[in-house]
Amino acid sequence: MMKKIFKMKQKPHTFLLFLFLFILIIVSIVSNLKWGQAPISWRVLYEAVAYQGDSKAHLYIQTLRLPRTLTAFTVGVQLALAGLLTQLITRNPLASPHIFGINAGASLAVVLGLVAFAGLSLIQSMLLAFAGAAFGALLVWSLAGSQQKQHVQLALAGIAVHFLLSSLTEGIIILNQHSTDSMMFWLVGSVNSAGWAELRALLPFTITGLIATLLMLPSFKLLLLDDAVATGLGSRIMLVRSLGVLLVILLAGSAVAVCGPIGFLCLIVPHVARALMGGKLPLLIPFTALAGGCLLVSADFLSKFIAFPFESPVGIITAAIGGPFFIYLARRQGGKAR
Amino acid sequence: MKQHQLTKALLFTIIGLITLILSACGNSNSTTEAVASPTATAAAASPSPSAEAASPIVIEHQLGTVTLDKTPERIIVLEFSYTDALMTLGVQPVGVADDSDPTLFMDAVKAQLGEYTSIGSRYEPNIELISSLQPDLIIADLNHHKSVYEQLNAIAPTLVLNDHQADYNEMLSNYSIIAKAVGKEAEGKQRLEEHEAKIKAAQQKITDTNLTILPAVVNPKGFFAHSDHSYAGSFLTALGFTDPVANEESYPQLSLEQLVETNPQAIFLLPTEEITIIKEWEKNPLWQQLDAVTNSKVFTVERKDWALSRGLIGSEKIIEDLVKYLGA
Amino acid sequence: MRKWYSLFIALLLLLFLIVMSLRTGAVPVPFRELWASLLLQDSPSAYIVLQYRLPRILTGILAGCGLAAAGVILQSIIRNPLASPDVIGITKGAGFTAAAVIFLFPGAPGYVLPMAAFTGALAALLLLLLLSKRMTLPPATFALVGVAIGAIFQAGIQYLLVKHPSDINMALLWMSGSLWGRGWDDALSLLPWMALLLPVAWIQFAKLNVLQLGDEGGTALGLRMGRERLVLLLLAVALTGSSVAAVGSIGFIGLISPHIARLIVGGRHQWLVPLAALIGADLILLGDCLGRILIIPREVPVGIMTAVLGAPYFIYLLRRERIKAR
Repeated sequence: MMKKIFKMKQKPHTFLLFLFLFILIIVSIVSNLKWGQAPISWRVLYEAVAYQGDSKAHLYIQTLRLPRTLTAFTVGVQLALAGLLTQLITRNPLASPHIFGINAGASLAVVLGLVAFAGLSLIQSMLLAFAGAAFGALLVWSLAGSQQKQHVQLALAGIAVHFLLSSLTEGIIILNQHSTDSMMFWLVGSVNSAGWAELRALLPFTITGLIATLLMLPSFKLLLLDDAVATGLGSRIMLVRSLGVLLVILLAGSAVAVCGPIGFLCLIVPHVARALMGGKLPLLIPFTALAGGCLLVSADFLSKFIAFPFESPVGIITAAIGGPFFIYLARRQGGKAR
Repeated sequence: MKQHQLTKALLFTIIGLITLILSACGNSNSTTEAVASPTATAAAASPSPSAEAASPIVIEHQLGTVTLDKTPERIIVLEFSYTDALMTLGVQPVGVADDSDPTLFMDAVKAQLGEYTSIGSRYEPNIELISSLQPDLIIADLNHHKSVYEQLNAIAPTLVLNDHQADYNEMLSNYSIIAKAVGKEAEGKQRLEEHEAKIKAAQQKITDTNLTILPAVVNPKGFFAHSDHSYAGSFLTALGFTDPVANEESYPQLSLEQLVETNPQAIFLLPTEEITIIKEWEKNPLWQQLDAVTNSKVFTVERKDWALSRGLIGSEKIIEDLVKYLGA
Repeated sequence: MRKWYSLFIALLLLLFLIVMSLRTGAVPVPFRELWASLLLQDSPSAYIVLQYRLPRILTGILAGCGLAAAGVILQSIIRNPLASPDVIGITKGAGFTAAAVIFLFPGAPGYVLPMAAFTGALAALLLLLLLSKRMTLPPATFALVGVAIGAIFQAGIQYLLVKHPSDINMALLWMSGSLWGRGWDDALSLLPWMALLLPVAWIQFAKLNVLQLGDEGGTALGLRMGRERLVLLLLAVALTGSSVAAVGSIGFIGLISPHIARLIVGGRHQWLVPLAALIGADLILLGDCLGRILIIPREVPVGIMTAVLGAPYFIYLLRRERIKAR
């Protein structure tokens, strides 16, 4: 059924869609900069973005809202791409890094690290997150197998592993009851503490990830082939898949390390993108990436206001949007299976 | 055919098992009451000769009434603030729920505290150990321990106070209840007067109470303000300071932007670990824009003094810190 | 014969674990005192044995049986070995209402919490039925809808946790599942449920056997599949809801006990249901017993212990089943 989606006729409005997405991105970024706990006028906003002025209001934008919004955008791009790649590799429309145990694995590794050695640096916790992400992914992969017909099996194995890993994380948190508050971050992701330092730490991974994706674009087309043709290419396919998994771990793992586990975004965006854009990878990949960034920035904007004036983690918003979407997907899948 | 018999047999065994369990439970239930009552009568009977001299202490509390025939001697406390209260009254507890971490006591309390048995977490104190210590009074918290009130009360008379969510004034009234329960009502009253005098004296030394002060727990990922609905915040308000957050929520998490908007004139940081989010924030030019920072009124104090102890000794330490940092 | 043996061994193990649980803990009770307490003779350990450990053990056994039986039923009607009360979102629904009570009504009397948890489980079920078009969807899709409902409830739980940082521990303890402080009133309010529901679950074995195979076989045998599945689902939710209300949302028991049981006696439910229930009780007692003695005077919540104990075995089992499936 993936194949069918990918072979959908390409929509004629590609250009318009991209234009619309760009406008949406700009609107969401600007509203994220403009509205927050402190009121800021349009004029100050303009000055601050143009890097003039150093009053409080200017500093809010330059040192807090701007890096935060950019981090949200970058993380959104990475998660959406990771989601798309997971779905391509597994040929499973229900797959996503979240379901692959990557989020829960990374969280568990970081929380374990925090308990074992007090005061991890950003880079150290990133490395731990990578190790955890890889572990979670391998676990689910080895449990569910990579047969194409195992869509549901993969999703369920992933959820079981996700529950297992996150219950272990909760256990560690319970037993260290005096540092509970700071560890909650690793159960629900959020971008509200992200500053320039976080963005700087994230960017190398983003750039590597994007370049690698572009370089591998022709190879990824192999993943769309029929099984019969694909088996002829055998080892080549295996190589592409393994590289793809590494890429997913790189993109999603670094995102979790900076922002904690943010679920469901990686599941929704590729689907929406595919429905709008059709299956042509050279168009689909950039569209998915941009849409991911746009969605996370908008979700972050919403998260500022559900308990105003206090902030709520953005992971809650993505789960609240993603849950119903997942139901819709599952029901559609079910309809087709019959 | 054979299959059928097999399932039938299994059905019978299961029904048998269930009736067995049922009857066993019914038995044990009726017998437990039987067990409980002789011990209860024994407990009531044995101290009665000695208790004739003093009239029994009767106290109403959150979940019922406690009747103590004699002054309790083996007391178990399930919150830090209760230990604080007992220390001021010169009473040693036999067991304390200290989260298995004695470093959580503030120094002044630990200095006075003698030998005691740790009974584990404040959330899930070890009831077996409580029972083995054979206490004659247990002081519990309403929110954390209401589900096990029956069990605790079966071990010893249990006093349930609303402590975890109490503000300063509620703490004072809880203190009087505890003083009465341990048979030191007069001492308690006297100690409260001393406490008020100490606070008055300290207030004289603090020249400027018109400040907005924000106490906050800081950890590596967040800044949690203690508003006037929390214990420390309510104490500061009682002293005449103003809470800059002024919110229904007791421990709201603030972002740097919000903190700068709130702009407290003095900040007391209660770090949970050595490296906290403040280290990041200090690098930000916005941090320098805070009134508290420009007036160099950002102070680091002990979390165990300000947020965990929550009693007279704790409050006196808070005001000592205030005098030290804000006094003339 | 092997099946009888395995049931017998599981029962023996349970007895052994009961004795061990009665004997060990923060305060070890010598056998002599244990015996005296059980015979209701005067003994210094009478309180610990009769009032504390016995009701706790009984609650654990009942909840373990209930969760495991619910797991067996769900795995049969969803026709997937990975289904469990946790996966289809029921325990998350219970967790959400429980967290709401803990955070929003901290003054509520103690008995409100289990009632709220049970209501939450029912709410999750209602949502599930509503969104799965009253179970006319294929079983696998049904499971995925459950996963999503669980995720939405999880988001609600996390919102409550983040907004009320002072009582996170209480809520986390409840949500990972704990037997701490469960007394006779907990055990006795769970007992009638289990005494009623467990035999009912077992009597359904023939239907469970058929459902496992697929809709075609069932229809041929004259079963109205949709209705049967609905009834069995209700049964599973009642088992889960009452267990979870008593011990908190322990998730892993319902997933792993049926697997272990299936490995031993195969897929026939007349054996699977009782054996899985016994194994569930064994697991929960083992976890609780270890959890109580690992870090005296504190306790490791039983939900965490069962996850730690069960995890490696679960992974081994899944891999094994996958290899067999090839």
